[in-house]
Amino acid sequence: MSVSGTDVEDVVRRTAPAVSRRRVGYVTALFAVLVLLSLGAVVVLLAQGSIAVPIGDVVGVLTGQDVDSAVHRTIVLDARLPKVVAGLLAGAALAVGGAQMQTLFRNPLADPFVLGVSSGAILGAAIVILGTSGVGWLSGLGVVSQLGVTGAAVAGAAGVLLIALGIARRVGDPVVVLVVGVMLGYLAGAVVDMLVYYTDPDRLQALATFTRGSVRNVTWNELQVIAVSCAVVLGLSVFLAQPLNALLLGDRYAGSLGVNVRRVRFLSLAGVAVLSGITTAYCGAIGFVGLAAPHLARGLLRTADHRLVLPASALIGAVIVLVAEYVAGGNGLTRTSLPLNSVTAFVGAPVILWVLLSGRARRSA
Amino acid sequence: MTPVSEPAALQAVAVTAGYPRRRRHPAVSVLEDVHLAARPGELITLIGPNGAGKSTLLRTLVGAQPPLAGHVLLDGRDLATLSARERARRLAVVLTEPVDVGQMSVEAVVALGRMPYRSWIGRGTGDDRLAVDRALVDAGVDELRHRPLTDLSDGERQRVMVARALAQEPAVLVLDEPTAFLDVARRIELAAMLSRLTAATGAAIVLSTHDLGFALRRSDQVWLVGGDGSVTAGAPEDLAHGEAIARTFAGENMSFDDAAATIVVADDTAPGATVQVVGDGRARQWAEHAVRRAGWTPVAGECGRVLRVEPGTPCRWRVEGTRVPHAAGISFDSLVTHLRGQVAPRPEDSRTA
Repeated sequence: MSVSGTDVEDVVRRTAPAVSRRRVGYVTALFAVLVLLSLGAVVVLLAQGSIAVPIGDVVGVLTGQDVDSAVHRTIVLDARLPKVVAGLLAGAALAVGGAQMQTLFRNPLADPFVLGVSSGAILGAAIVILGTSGVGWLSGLGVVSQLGVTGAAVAGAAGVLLIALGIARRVGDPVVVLVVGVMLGYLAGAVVDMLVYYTDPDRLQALATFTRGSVRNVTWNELQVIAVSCAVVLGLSVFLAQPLNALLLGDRYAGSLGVNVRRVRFLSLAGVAVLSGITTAYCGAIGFVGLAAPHLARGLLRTADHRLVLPASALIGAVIVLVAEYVAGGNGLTRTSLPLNSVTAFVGAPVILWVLLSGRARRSA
Repeated sequence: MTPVSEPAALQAVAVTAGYPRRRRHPAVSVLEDVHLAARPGELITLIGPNGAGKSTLLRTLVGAQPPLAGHVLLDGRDLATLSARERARRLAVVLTEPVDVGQMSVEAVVALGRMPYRSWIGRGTGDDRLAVDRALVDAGVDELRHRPLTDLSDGERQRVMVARALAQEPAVLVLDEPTAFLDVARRIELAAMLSRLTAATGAAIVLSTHDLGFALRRSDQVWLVGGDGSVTAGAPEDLAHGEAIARTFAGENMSFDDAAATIVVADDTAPGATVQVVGDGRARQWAEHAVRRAGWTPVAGECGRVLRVEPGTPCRWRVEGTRVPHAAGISFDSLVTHLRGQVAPRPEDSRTA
């Protein structure tokens, strides 16, 4: 390799610094903007609602200063902060899950909602919630803890993921996989409907938010579960960024680079199952965020490098969910509120269409 | 400089390659008792008919499937005992199938080759950057470094994949039919680049190919996978001269053309239709080509007919002799037409005509 050594150094000195410095500047600025956007969305959501709290008070409460109005303090900390943090985490979790799924499935249209993973989570949760009320076999369990429901949701998500991946590896055509995912979602939904039909109406309340997607009912206690598990999994997915990059080249190239493909795929799928299972268990099935955010991240960053795409997706996903929550009722303009899905579809559906029509879906088959 | 004492970068010792027993499928050994050695800096081509086991052998040599028996040694260590990461630091592959990585610059794709040297987080060091730059220059894709991979032509993309493999700084580089999707010019370009790389990097390069001409002209060693489960290794000239290549490839109506170093369809020649070709260099060479295409046989000595060609384009030709009517013309097209017309009546008949 030494033959061309001096040439190399010349070339590097000539071209590399200017281009890479500009690039680093762009990426840094992009991340700064995304962080500011999510912080801004958090503050606005905390301030607005049925009772408006001055921005100054919101910042004061957040930074731990004394705020004159105890009412404002209570509204911000107890009524609004849990849902805002839950929205932030749910958006990040779904987006990171979607980004990983798109690479694992080699399918630009993969995401927890589209491929029915969220429906699987709902099914898992529904079996535990409704099963205890008299359908029979699960009622003997007695105490249904929050963690039981959460675990069931994660298991349901994992189940659908495994089925979808098994089919995707045989079929290959992203559009077919997409349809299969939608069908799996319908199937899971149908089972949930059956369970609902044969169950005690009192218990249905617990299921109501699941299918619509909402962060509004999250309490501080629940938030602890979401925060800890999402933070752990999101943190760990940093380690998957590099192996996922290798997987972009295909399984065989990744293997030749020393990546244990089976292990990476398992860890990543487990992570996705936890992220989407937990998000769905507490905030319901929020659609399209996991699909749109990674595409927006790649488009803005102009790279598929997961070391950048995963954190950028997380921030974009958080912003999407928070903005959606604002439009869906967090603005306090109306007394009623929309399901989050009605808003996220405005972002997600165009992205799906754009991906399909631009031909990326076909080419990567 | 005794090549024999130089340790092999990649060595197959009594390897049986094939597929292990699975449910309801018995074990299948495709190749048996294979002994091969690739020394540093050698360019080795792996040739053989379709279905003879080229891919099976390659997969076994790179550790993608374990040998049924025997050992594959990489830098003297058994491939089976190396971790995937250790292996990736010594052995790199370039596959046939094109990759679709989405949005990624050439530089980023090549940098993936540094993975076996990086921490879990994937931070690059100065060494990494230097290795990537060197790989980009060596594979001749340095000017493309900031372009997205999706924008490149097939040939450029294949060179980028070679650069990515070089970034692994391997002792052995294995390419599975790297020229399969390339046009003639890109093939030659890639072949020349690979020859250069053996000298520049000191790596042993093993590639499978269907291009017999390339295999014989460029490689230091040919590994010939016969259809009978054997693998013969040797210098290209030894295999061609010993007719191992002819035996493996030539079928009915095909023969191994020694001058062209390739398999050709046996010419359908008319008996007795011989002509002595007189002329210089390329004009003579293509005149002989035209003669063969017309079903005649060019000969070196006197045979009663002489074809004279003059240099210049289009080529002027003249046929004269005791046993044929004199004729002359311009361009090889008219020469072939003329010769074919002469063959149709038997040479004996033409004398009486």
